[in-house]
Amino acid sequence: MTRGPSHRRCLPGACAAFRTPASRIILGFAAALWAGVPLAAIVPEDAEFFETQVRPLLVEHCAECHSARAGDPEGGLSFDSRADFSAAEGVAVAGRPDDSLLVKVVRYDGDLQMPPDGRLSDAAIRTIEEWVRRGLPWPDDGKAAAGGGFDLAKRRAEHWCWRAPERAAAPPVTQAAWCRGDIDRFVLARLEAAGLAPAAEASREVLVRRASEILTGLPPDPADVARIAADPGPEAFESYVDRLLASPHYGERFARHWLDVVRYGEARGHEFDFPIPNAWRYRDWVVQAFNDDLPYDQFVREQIAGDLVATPRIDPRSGANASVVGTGFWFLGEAVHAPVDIAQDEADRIDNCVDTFGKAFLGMALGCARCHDHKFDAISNEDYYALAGMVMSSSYRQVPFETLEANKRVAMRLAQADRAARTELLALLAEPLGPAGRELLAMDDAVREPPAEAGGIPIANYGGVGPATAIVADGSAWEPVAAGTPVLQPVVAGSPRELRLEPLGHAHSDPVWSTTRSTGERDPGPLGAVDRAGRVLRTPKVRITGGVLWHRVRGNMQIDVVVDGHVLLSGGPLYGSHVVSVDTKGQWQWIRQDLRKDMNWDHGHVMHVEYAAIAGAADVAEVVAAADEPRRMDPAVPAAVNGLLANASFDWNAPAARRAVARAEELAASRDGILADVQLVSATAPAMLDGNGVDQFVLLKGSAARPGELSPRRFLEAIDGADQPAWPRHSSGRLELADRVLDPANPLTGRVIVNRIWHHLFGRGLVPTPDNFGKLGEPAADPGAQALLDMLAVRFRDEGWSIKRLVREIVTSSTWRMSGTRDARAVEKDPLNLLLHHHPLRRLEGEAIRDKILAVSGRLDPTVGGPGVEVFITEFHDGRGKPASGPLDGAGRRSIYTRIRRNFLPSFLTAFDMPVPFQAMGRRNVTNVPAQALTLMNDRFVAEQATLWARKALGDEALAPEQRIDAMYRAAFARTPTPEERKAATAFLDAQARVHGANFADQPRHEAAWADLAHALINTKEFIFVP
Amino acid sequence: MSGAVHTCGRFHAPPLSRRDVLRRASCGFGAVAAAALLARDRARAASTGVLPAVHHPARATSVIFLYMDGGVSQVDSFDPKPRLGQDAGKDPRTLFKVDATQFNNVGSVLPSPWKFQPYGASGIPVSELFPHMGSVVDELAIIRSMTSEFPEHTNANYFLHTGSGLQGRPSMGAWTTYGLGSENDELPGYMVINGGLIPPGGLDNFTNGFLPATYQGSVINPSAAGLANIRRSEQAAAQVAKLDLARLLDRGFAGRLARDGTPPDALESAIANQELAYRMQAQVPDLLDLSGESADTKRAYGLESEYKPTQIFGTECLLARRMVERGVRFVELTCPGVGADRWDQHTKLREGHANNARAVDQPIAALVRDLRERGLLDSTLVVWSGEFGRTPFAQGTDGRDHNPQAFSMWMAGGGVKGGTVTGATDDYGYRVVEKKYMIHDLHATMLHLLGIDHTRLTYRFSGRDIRLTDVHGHVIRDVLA
Repeated sequence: MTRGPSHRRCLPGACAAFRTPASRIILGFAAALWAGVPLAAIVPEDAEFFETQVRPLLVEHCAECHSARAGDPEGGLSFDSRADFSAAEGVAVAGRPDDSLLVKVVRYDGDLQMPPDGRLSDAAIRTIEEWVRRGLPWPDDGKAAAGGGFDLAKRRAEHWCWRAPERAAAPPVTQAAWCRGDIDRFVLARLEAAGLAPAAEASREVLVRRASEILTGLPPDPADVARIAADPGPEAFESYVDRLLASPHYGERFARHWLDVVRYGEARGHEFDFPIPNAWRYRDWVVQAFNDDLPYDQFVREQIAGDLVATPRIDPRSGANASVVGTGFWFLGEAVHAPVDIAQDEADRIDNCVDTFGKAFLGMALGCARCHDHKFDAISNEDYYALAGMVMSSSYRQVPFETLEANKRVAMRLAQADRAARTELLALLAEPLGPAGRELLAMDDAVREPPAEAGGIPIANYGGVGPATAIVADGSAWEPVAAGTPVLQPVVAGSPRELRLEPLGHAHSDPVWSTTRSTGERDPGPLGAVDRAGRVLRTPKVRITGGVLWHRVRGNMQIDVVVDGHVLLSGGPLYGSHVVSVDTKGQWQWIRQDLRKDMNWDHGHVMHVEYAAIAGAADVAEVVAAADEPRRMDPAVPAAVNGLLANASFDWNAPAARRAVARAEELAASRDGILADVQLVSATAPAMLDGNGVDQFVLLKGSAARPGELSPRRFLEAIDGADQPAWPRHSSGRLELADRVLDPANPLTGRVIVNRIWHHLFGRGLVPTPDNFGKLGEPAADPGAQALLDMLAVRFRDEGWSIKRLVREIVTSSTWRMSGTRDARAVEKDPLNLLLHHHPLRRLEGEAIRDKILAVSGRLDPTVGGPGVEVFITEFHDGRGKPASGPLDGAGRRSIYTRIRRNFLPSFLTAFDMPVPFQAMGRRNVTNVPAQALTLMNDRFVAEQATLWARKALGDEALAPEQRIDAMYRAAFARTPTPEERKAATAFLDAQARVHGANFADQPRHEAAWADLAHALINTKEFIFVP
Repeated sequence: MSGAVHTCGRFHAPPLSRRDVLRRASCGFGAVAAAALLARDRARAASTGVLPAVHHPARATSVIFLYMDGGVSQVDSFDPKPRLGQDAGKDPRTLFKVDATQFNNVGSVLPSPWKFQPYGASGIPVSELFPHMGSVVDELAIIRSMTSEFPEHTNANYFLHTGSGLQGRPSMGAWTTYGLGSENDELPGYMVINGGLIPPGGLDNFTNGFLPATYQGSVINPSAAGLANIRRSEQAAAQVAKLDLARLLDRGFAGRLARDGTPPDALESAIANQELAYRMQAQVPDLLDLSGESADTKRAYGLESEYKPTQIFGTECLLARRMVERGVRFVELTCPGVGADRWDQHTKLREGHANNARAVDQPIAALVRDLRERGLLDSTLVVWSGEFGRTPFAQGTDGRDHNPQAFSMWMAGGGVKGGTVTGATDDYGYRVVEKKYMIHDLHATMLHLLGIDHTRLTYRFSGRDIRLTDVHGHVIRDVLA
């Protein structure tokens, strides 16, 4: 549903008639007039002709698509009834078959051919022609025009999720002493109403294991188990929970849950699986956010618009901008490196963004509204494209987040100094220039000529004549320089510097910025050949046709044309013309860039240009899409003044001139002093770069080739109504979007995250479909469950959006502490345990199983964060872009640090249901397949770790075998074995030693036998299921 | 569960009933669905799929999909176009409207370097690339009017395999086994034999997507290694002892969770899967062991060919027959590498297509004939297809670019009317002019032959009842016997 191309009923190439608005036949359901024979004028013969010959044809060959029964009739054309047919204009001209589109398409005359699966018989075509010739007679069939099946207000009123959550008082309960808090009162009330009782509290051993594995994804330290089991105090478990929440492994655990929601990947999939450079920075950002208990509202805001927040969070240690890294969220999806239909590709990419955004933050399947109004929820087609525009208005960058803020401060000081210098130097120059010069300088801007009639399509103009294009850059490198700004320059090499005026206004990048250096990965292909991070100037997005650009630039720079927001363009085999490097040797030049050989520009594309200095200074004055070199009348004043300054009669030795030069040298030196504070080296992360606001068209049927009405950017109508303040034009509006997502009036956001947390802690959400609160999601099991969710959601918001506080409250409740032992009567009454009469048994996720194996074997490297470990490649991994294999044991790091290459997912984890990252997956599959047993039985990783575990168990020579067995049980199961189990393990060791040709009595530390025991324990269900 | 541990204590599981497997392999769609399935399954103990019964009588019970990775040229294989000879060397843009191609390096009209001749009683023309397939042409229903929506490999592969051009949707093999289950309790129901070329898009072409993982394609290599982790890394006795000990602990664990003796389903099914996995360790190597096949059979399949890729693909075809014999529901074969590229001849069409044809032609004909002789063809649907076709004009001078507007494919076996040709392209083989079909129609037809109404095999995901054919698809009646 969320994917576009497969919903296009018309095949590519068959839709040419729809491409340009002029020839579109989709014309809405306004009061169209019946162009054919009026009802009253239909003679019986025509009526019979229609009913016996025409209607059967339409039903048989057309109605499958062109009918309300097909959902949205294709192209808005329905043959259901006279009224429906009359609503679509332009289909046929009564009486004139040869001028009728309907006849042309059934004749297969042009590109649009109907029916698409084969031409009608000649006889049938003649019938259609005859019908048109007779004036389209269609007798009254008594049906009013369909119109308006989608009633947003009605849907909003009828579905629970749109109603604001309320904080209901806890219901009364009989067994009040059982309740530790409100959660318990809500749960117990439901149980009591059903005549059930909660299971007894689990043992301390079970609670400690459960809390450790669910909150940190790692087994507990056996010493903690023993200590807390022995501590009768009521606070023992609570303080253990606090310790777990303070552990950095808590953040890793909950980050992995969130990564499922945001379809986290570190490579782009498809043909070559190109890496997403430095994607792990986002992963670490999430880990840190959970560990810092970043308030959830800020967590959301920074992912949507961390690049735009007024006061970014600054890492106190490094000074890095922590907020901007959150926007990596938008770039974690798959991508095609060289799409043929690049506009459609952009529509597909944006769809993934909108869909993931909707599911992650709002629990709403917004992608369903891509091709039509949502079939079930209060989401319109316009809602979808209003959000799509915000994604479209923004673009990708590798942000130098470590130096961003420091360099911003440098740039501000620099701008201030430059402004002061300009004023001062112009004043100093006035004297030596004499009266003529002074007169010129006084004229200044007033007489500066505007550009000659431009022609072409302006993309950006940094000249400051007329409204200058605002500078948008990925760092602080670019500053505006007005025409007429005095600059020092040597007249000939080695000679003393003289002053001249800049002839053109432009965006300027000081030479210092081309010496910045990024650490970490760069973009693939020619784009990454230049260390762009922090050096990029980005023009507005503009729709152009023609495919030839003219850049008026000076300096040595890379020019990258980003078409339809496509990032990977230059990494693939196509579109080589989009990235060029130029060096104008210090002179202003018009650079021509011809993009026509790589793609078709007839219908235009939305594009922007990015400039990045390669070496020295870089200056950009103007960029235009035009066939021929633009002609410009340059500003007259600087040219005239420069004429005077360069004239032999100008005396540079006169005291006034020398004063000006000397002062200019002083100012340049102080400028260099400021620039010395520029921080040159930074790590980078994928992030949003905000641009001008671009509204998107509603794309009919989700097809980029079929733009409909413009859908201005705004938030969902179901939440904010139809009349919303206009979204900003200078910005994508993502910051405003974040505000709307987090507004108290939004009934979804709080509920969705509270439900996700409940889902992770109980294995099932109060709403069982955490990504879908819509009509087709599963609602809460009963009003009591709904009230519990709403109570928690309201409190979560009112009490500061703290996830740790919520987790703590749930985990320390009597509800969560119930034993997993099932009561037969309760199971019979409530087989799905919807009321929570016992603690549900859960299988650990693949990551937690693998991490646990590493933990018990002693191999676990607990390092938090950092670049990923390359995936271990098996003989079953194959395909283009295959990386060199990483180590079998993943270097002992936790599973979250294994690189997620979309085409080479870690096989151990996928066997245990790690999701393929293509869209939000807040609830994983929990499958049960033989491949999992085969993995635990035969995988080399498991066998290797079993041996390590055995070595660890054998480490202390003084222990008796029973003590070793006990220690292994405590490590794996957080309990000591029963006497029978201990006996069975001893017998097993004895037998295995014999299998290995040894006598256990003689060799009680026989490693292979102990490794067998370790391997057997890993293969128990108790190892992978949390009781 | 009873009987799983014999009195001797040795780990030896009795064969599970299919119902048991279903009950125990309860998957992500939750206990409600599992319970519903169980209820249905009580009425019919024949499958582990979700369908209580086929929607109409099945004409085939298993599928072998011969995937021609890269896109075979239709005008060089099953769709002869003499007009290309007449217009050889002309700019195609002067003859017809040319769509954007991937590389937009449009050369002149390029006639087929291969001659066509009629074969069999049907007299259907086949190019000299495929003399062996020609010899079984009376078994084939050739469709000359298939189309795709995507002109590039990855999207087209996903589209062909999953009905969606994007990553992550369930493959047709997953849908089939989801619907029908497997006939064999000791092998996965959907197996992919990897000839060496995993198609662009990777293993996601064979994914279960959002369907439960039971239905994912198990990729197996046509070599001794076979399946991931299928080989014991130790003596059988050592493994059995471990599993025995594990079983003992599992019983204790289950007992603690249910005082009345009914442990949670998840636990039971995990235990059952360990048993199935244990048995697969014996079954899969047996499947891969070709020593019992006659010398004639091996020769017929090309296992003795001097061309290595023919040997590989021959082994794949032979394994496919052995899987079908064992009740595997859906088998897909991927191509072996032939030095150049797969069928994707952007250059050197003559050499590349000849080598690829050499690799697959003889084994495929042998497979069709062998299935016929063993009485298996009537219950096996064989499908041969690439992800799209190729342009009738050159890319550069000696290659052909991608063409999703028209390509040829064929079906054979259960319920298929052999010796027929359906659909037609224009004079150049560039676009379909008669009976235009799309991949959804192919999927609908395959499911139809298996007894499934494609509109009624659904899975609730992401807020919608999703099907393999999305909202499209018509059964291609012309190919039905």
